[in-house]
Amino acid sequence: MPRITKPTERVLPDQTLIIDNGAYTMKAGFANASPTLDNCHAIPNCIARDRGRRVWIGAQLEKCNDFGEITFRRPVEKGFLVNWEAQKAIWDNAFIEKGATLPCNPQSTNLVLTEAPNTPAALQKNCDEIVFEEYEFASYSRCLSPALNAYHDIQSLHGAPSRDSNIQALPAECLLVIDSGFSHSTVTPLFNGKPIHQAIRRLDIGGKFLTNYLKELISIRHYNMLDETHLMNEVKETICFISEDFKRDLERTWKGASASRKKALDGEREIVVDYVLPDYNAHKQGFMRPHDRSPSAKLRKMGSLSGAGDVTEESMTLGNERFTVPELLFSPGDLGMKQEGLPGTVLQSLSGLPPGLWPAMLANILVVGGNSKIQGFMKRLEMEVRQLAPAECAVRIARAPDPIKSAWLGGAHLAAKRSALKAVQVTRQEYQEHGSGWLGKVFSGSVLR
Amino acid sequence: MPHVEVLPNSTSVRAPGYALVPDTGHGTVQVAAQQTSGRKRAARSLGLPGGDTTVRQQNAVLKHLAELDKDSHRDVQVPVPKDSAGRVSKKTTPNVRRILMSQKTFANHLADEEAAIAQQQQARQSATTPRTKIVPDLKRASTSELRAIPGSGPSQNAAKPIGGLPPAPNRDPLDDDPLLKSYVPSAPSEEVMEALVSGPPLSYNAARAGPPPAGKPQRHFCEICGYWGAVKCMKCGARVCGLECKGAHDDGRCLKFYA
Repeated sequence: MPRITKPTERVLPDQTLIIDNGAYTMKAGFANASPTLDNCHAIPNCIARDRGRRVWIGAQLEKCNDFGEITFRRPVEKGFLVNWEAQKAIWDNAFIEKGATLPCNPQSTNLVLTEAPNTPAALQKNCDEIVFEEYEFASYSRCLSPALNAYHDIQSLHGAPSRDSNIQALPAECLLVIDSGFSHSTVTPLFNGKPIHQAIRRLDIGGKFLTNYLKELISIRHYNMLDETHLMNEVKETICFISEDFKRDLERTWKGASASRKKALDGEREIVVDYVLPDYNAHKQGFMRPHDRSPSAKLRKMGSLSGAGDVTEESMTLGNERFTVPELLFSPGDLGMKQEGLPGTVLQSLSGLPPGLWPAMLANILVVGGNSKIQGFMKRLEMEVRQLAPAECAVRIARAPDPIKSAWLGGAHLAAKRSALKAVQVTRQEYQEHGSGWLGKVFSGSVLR
Repeated sequence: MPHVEVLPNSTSVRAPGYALVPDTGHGTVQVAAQQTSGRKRAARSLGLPGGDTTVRQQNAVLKHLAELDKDSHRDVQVPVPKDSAGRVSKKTTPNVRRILMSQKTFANHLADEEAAIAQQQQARQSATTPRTKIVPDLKRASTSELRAIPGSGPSQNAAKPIGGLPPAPNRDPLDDDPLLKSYVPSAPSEEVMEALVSGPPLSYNAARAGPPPAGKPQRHFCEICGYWGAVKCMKCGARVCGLECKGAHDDGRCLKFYA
């Protein structure tokens, strides 16, 4: 039986800060009446140290131009905010200190903060205590990051006419959010903007895992890249794509394919590419270019390796790495991981719901998170979910216009409507009155206010 | 033999510095410990004969996966710069100080959570009187339980016409054909949805996606070039695609020099 405390009139200040605190970037910005993506800043959520032992915090990293052997310390571990010492330094740098990206006075600001699904209760409590006792925000609400996506106009993504702007803050009734981020990929069914906790499922593969795998492959086959995580991330974002026909693509990139077979498989888009490594001394970015098979190109490469001539660039030839790496999202078993791929995870999540909800969920799937930007991701996901889903159900999958800032924008839509915001926020006064145990219960929904 | 049981204690204080970890008996550590005597035979005999799943290989796979999930290849310590860490203008509360000083990693928190859940379960098992506090169920409710909620299953609502409309007067005789019938169940009732939405969150481990249904064999790839791994190294069990890659494997990557 939920305990009902005495209703009090909550007075909230005008300014609302929304932070989608991801492991790789922190998406932060102030809400206004008609928020756009330009209001959102994606700040690297890390403290980095380059090889000159200089330390960069958060947004300072934009000025850094030597990413060789750079090491990162991330306060968010496996998607969960664990280390507050580092997080406080990054938040201070972004919001409090002189020259901050988003200068703000917490005492006159509402905070909407996101967390990953299934956060351990101890971490939630830590988070609440820091927000109210260290930063002293005027009011605060903590919600699941995928849940904020319900405040978008989902139907227009599926081709329906966009809805009236007067009903902006209404959450979508049924929505299945696939969030494939840096630390992991989660599937969250939402009903009226509220998560159905029993059916949330997680695949332990995210962008970090893919980057590390690519790093390992390249270290075996080309150059030792074990300390070049940042570069490998860039390479991954540039070259990776998800194959529509994995077996065929693997045959096409086989080094031993005979000339006649190559001919039969050629005539399509070439898979093998060269990636030219960046030169941090000359401030040159790395880039991808089509692979040159001619003997002269081979000679040039040999020449550059021996240090002769004026060619100073170094490149590596990438073939099946381009699609075997992101393939892990769809078949983790390739590395021996005992988990089903992303489409299977969607179905596992649905199996936690009554079958009556399946048609509505399958027809309203929204994909967010950085991995969805990989070329071919949406097509493959749609194809495999379609194969696994019951034949009676229509499957509609859409990607958010900006998959990385999508949750932030949803939060901004929520904050634009004062009454909706008022319903979820807890003021500092209430916290001081009832304590952090009560606050945890409010956010988990077991105490009604 | 005396039976020892941990009684639930309402005034338990979490001591800092250590965590109670439930002993599930399936951990890697245990598996590794089994190998101390007659290692080779034990390692081979536990797996399926002829299969790839010897204990040693399973451990290697788990280690590899853990490696790939790490933030950086080496353990690095990047200290927070002093000018921002030491700048404490106002008084901090004990809570804040404790949280900022905490060096716990996610693995520690996860172990704490697992221990708490194990303790709750133990408490529930040993509690015989109903006056004990009901702890939220952090395990997955099976689908069959959810289906048992009245109104959620397809069978209960199948008889009712949707939306209260009278049945159409001239029905196609093929409508009753079981082959052509649509089996989409109707939406669950509001109470069911209310119960679903207000359910407690799962624990971290319970929310992990399960393994794929058996029957689909694992694909193997050459560890040198990434092509199909048709050949297995007889010494260490790694997969390669052919002679050329086998040579490269033997030169540097074979895990066992003497076998």
